Amino acid sequence: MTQARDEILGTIRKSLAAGEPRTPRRLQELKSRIQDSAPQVQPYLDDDLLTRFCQKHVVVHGTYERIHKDGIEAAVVRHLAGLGLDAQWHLGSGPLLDATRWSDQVFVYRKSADKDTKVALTEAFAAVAETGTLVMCSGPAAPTSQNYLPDNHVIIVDSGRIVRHMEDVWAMLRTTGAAARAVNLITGPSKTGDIEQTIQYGAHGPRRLHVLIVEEAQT
Amino acid sequence: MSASAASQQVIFRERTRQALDDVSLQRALAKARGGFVDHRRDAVDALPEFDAIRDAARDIKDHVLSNLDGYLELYEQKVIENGGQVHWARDAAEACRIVAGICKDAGARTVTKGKSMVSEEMHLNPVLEAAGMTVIETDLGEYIVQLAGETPSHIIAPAVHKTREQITDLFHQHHSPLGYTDRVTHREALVNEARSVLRERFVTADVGITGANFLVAETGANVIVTNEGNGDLTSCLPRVHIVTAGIEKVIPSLDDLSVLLRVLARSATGQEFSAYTSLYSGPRRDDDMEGPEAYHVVLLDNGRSRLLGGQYQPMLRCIRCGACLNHCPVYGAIGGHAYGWVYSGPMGSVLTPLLNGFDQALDLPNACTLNGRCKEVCPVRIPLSDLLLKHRLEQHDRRLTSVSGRFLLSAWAWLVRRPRLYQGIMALPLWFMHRLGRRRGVLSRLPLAGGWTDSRDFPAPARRSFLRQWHTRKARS
Repeated sequence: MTQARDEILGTIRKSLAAGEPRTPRRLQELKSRIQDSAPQVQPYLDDDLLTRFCQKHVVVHGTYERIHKDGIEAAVVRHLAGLGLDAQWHLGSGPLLDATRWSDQVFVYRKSADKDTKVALTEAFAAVAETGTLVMCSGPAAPTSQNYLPDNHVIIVDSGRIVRHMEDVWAMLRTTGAAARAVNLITGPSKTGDIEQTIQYGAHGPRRLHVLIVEEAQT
Repeated sequence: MSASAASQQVIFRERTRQALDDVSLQRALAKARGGFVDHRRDAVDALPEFDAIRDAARDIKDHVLSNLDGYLELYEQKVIENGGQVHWARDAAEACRIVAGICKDAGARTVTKGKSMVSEEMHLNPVLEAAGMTVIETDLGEYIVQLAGETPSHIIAPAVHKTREQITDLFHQHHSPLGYTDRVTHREALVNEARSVLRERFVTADVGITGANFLVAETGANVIVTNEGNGDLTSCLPRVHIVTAGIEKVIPSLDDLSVLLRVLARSATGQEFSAYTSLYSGPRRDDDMEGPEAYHVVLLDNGRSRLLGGQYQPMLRCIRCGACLNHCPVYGAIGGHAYGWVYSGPMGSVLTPLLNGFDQALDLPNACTLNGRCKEVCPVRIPLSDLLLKHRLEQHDRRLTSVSGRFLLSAWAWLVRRPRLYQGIMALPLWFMHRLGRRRGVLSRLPLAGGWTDSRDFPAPARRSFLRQWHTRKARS
């Protein structure tokens, strides 16, 4: 195995006429380029990030509601009732969800989703105005399966965590030092164009994606 | 020309003929043709910065390729730090052995796969099946193609060549034994049936194999871009996650990733962003309640390292978006299978001879009109049509073209370097053709050019050549 590795790296060096193996100094230069990495050319966006996020999210077939942090449970129940579903769901984790006290009117399951899971309620690490994208990080109480197996996905996001560009998310991830195995960028419900190049929703992931934007979560 | 090269050429021509005569295929291709092109144009028009981002994307890829050994080492370090393992494979056979070995060690019986062109390149599925495993493609298009016993005919739309009727038949045939006895014909019902069948597979699979759109050296993550979510279910549910990727997939940082993602989806499907873009690094963390216990990356060379530093290096920038296929009139006429290998369209015509050997794909660089649309739409600015010309030149120089063809080209080259002689000799056929087509202005039959005139007229030339007329007019004035 190391033989294959050495041979491949050797051929690369030979082809690039780099001759000798990379010197530590050269590797350090590449490392520095990574460490000093900064946003490059980005699309222009105006300052109303919340409006932009909502607009982009709707374009990709998502729905949303702007709520107050005390209204989380009510908003979820209302959304599910609209779909004819009971008030029970698989629950993810995040500052807003962890701080919520659930009433005895609802059932929450703090576990991985399975193939029959109807609803998951999870919290986004951040959201991106540029593309209407929600950023989900896996964690001990935030299993990735909740983002993909349920028919209905409800994502809660703190409006203060809607950032301008994707690169702003990378900066946040770097400073929190988050060591999540999975970072899932989600933009709308699951879809496929594989049958006659016509879009159908609900291919393998959620059929519906509903976002609850919690405003003034900090106050 | 070697015997195998000659037979390969016959096969390409035969396949092309079959493709053109295949009514279902032509219907499917006609349906697909406009959509991709229009959607891409709309997405590009909506982003004023698109060209600047394309330049940045090209520069990132060039920088990586010029330092590929270094970035691969940095990437490998990070994967190991995350608790994953990196395997290196010189060729497809070695990569298959590695993947099969991991699956066997894991006691795997069922393997789910997300879309991976590299695993197609490896011909992985038959190897795993021979080892007694059940392999299930989970991308809907790949799944359809697998049921049909075929290979993908497009990078991002593997089943673009299948009509709804054909898919209905396939599902009915393969899903009936599973209890889905109703024959469903609507798109929505077809998607639902596949969703339901594959769900069972996702949750019972022992190993999940995905590709990688990018490998990020900064974090050691593999990035997959999908719309269905199948790649994510393949990555997060089984006990073992294996990533198969070409060595050229590594990029430096997350900021570089943003640049490339901005051009990828727009070029591929005309979306601003795919539904799912995911970064996976290493196996489950100690306190995670789910996720794979083991995470492996298999890095495949298969001839790529030899291309560095040479005239074909730009081909390694390719991010497999499929835009060149969508904009190619040849691809649009014959579909992907006629190309004979995993990669089709302009990028396939450049890459296949480079990876499989020049004499293995002689016809591909010649099956091109040189209209240059592929080069125009490429998100990382690969000069595809120029590279195809280089291929043609190389075929000539290596004497891989036919003797008569080379003789004619040499004779032509000799003649055109003698302008007076050329003018004199060309005057006669010119006069003759002008006489022939005098009445209608076109020629419907032409000796030695039946291939052209069988299906269309040839415009009759003027009586005297342009140069002659030019000289006469100049003399008059």
